[in-house]
Amino acid sequence: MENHKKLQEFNCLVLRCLEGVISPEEFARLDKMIASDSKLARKYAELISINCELYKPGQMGTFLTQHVNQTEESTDEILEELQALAIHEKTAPAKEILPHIDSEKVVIGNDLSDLSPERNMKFFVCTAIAASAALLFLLAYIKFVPPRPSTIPVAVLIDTVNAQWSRAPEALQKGDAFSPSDGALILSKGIAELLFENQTKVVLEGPAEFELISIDQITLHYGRLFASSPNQSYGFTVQTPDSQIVDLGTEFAVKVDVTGVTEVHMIKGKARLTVGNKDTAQNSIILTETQAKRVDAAKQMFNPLRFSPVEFVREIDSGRNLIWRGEPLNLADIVGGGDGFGTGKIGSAIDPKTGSSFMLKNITEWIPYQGSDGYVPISWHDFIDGVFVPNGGSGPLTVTTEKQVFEHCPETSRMYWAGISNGGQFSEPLDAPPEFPRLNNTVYGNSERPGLFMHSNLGITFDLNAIRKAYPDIKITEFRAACGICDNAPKRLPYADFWVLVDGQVRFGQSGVRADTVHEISISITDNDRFLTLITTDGGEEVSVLINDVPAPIDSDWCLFAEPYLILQAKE
Amino acid sequence: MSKEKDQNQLFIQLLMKYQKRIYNFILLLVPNYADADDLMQETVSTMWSKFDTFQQDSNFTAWAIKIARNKILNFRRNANNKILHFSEESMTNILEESKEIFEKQHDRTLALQECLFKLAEYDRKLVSLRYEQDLPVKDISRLTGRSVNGLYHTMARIHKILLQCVQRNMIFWKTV
Repeated sequence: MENHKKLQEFNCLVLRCLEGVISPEEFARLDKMIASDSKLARKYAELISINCELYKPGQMGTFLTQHVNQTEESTDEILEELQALAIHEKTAPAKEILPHIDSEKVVIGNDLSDLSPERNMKFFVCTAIAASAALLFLLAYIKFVPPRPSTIPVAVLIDTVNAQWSRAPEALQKGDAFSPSDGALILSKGIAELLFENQTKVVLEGPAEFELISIDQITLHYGRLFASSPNQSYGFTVQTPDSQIVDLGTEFAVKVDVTGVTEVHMIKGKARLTVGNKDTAQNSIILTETQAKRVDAAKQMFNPLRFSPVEFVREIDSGRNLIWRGEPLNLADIVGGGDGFGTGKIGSAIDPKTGSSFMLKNITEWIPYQGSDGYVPISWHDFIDGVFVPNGGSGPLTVTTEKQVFEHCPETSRMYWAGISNGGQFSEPLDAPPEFPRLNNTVYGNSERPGLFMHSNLGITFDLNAIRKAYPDIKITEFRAACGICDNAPKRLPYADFWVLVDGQVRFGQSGVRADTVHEISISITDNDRFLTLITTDGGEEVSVLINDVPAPIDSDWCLFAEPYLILQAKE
Repeated sequence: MSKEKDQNQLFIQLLMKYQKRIYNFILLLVPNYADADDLMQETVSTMWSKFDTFQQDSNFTAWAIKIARNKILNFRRNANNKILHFSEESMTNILEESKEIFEKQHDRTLALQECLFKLAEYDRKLVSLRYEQDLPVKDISRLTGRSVNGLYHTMARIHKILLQCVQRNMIFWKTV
């Protein structure tokens, strides 16, 4: 009988019975044990006795205990309640739930929601000071110190940009560790990048309040968060007020607004999104790449949402003040002197003969220029290797400082117009109102829709290695653009060629492009590719407009590379 | 009026003194908190309305338990087969074995006080969450991240520890 397992089972059955979760089969087993063994019957009686001491003994008992210091007033109150109860018992139908008699816990001291770790455990006994000195009704309230949140570090602060903390461990610095014992942290402003022990990177954007729970779990009360887990690990969990997101590999972003509404954007791989938490959850879905959902906790549903990964910061570099939200690198912005993320000047252009920059709007006359042979290296911007006026008439054309050549560059007039520009408005003729270049009825050349305006004959080479060096945590995966002759070009005889080279090798070529045609460009870029070259040539038409009595095959060749982007991806 | 007031006062005093004993009896035979709470309320209500029939020099607890027993019988009868209840053999064993426990209730209460102090910190926390905060086991499971089944096993272990401790204390106090 004294078998440990049997006793353990017996105790479990009794407790489950008291909680009302025992099955008929289990109860039958319990009944049989008690009926057949008087020692177990005694054990049962003892267990019930202990539970009676611990448990709040029903509504009446609780009610009475609040009047332990029995006074005349409290007696009257009790009597009123008893009378009301008696009337109810007479009139209520069988098994009806009786009216609740409100009572307050007779707790001396603080309740358990106070997690002050310094508090000592106390044991409170509720006794009566009535006519009798006897112990009326003992309620054992236990005061305890809840287990301290762990002080073992679970994440490290890697970097911050413009971060301001309104609740954090003092003097937070890069390299500092966070542990669950830090509690709720508030990043009131700026960006912070953390690396968890399980190698998951988390980028938080303030204002945000969060708690680090373990090496693979964070609670986001509000704010924006981007999480990226290495390929071989999954299970990183983000808990929000109304949902739980479990990473199944590898990147997702979460936004929680101040009302607790959660949005999830699946950037790469997949994740499980559950309404509530692991125990109250009733509805759960798997989110796959480029899906986005908003949680409706009240209806236990997930509403569709526009996938918007650029809302979330994915990489930061305080040294370069870089905040990258997954947006592509804009080559037109680089031509304008920028970093590729919108810091360049619209309308800033590069002279292909000298390599110097100027503003397109400062052009006072539209005349074609004669280019010279030779590649012009650029020293004022690391990302630009050089510029040139393309002409294959003398043989293979040098297109990089590494002397890589465009083997079959067509022969051109070597004439060019203005320069290679970061969009911008210009007037043609000069007394006409200035306009941005348009392609397929869409305006380009502004900050919203960048455009690299390259009236033939022009060429520019970008140094991909320099870009990689500047953004070491990001890799270049693709060059993407659309190309064509602008709609607002003069309706004379536009006729031009477009070329895209990687390390001197043609990866895209479209010759004889006329007005009203647009061509899409998509070129994969690998880590071994060093230089990207964009070239426009004048098509070599023999009959063309004369400008100042000079045949100008470049006339009306308003060539545009629309939205010339390098597509980026975070390195794993 | 003064006599009625004295009667009322007496009822309340007696109830406050013995209500735990009454509830213990109910819980023994109806081992389900929710049902036991309802039955306790019905019992107290009937006791109150029939207090004028109580012989003041007789045993209040015995009188109250008689009312409680009738309530339990009615409860079973009305529920038909919808509730789980012990067989006659079990009930006989339970009532027989519980006599001594009830006789030493006061000492057991004091012993339990001491034993609660001696629990390990984590066990104390669980006991507090369940009985002081009155959190259902499934809510404790959510709070602690432990499975419901696991929690029942832990609670069973804690009860066993408390029981052994109470028994030891009772033996010790007897010999002192």
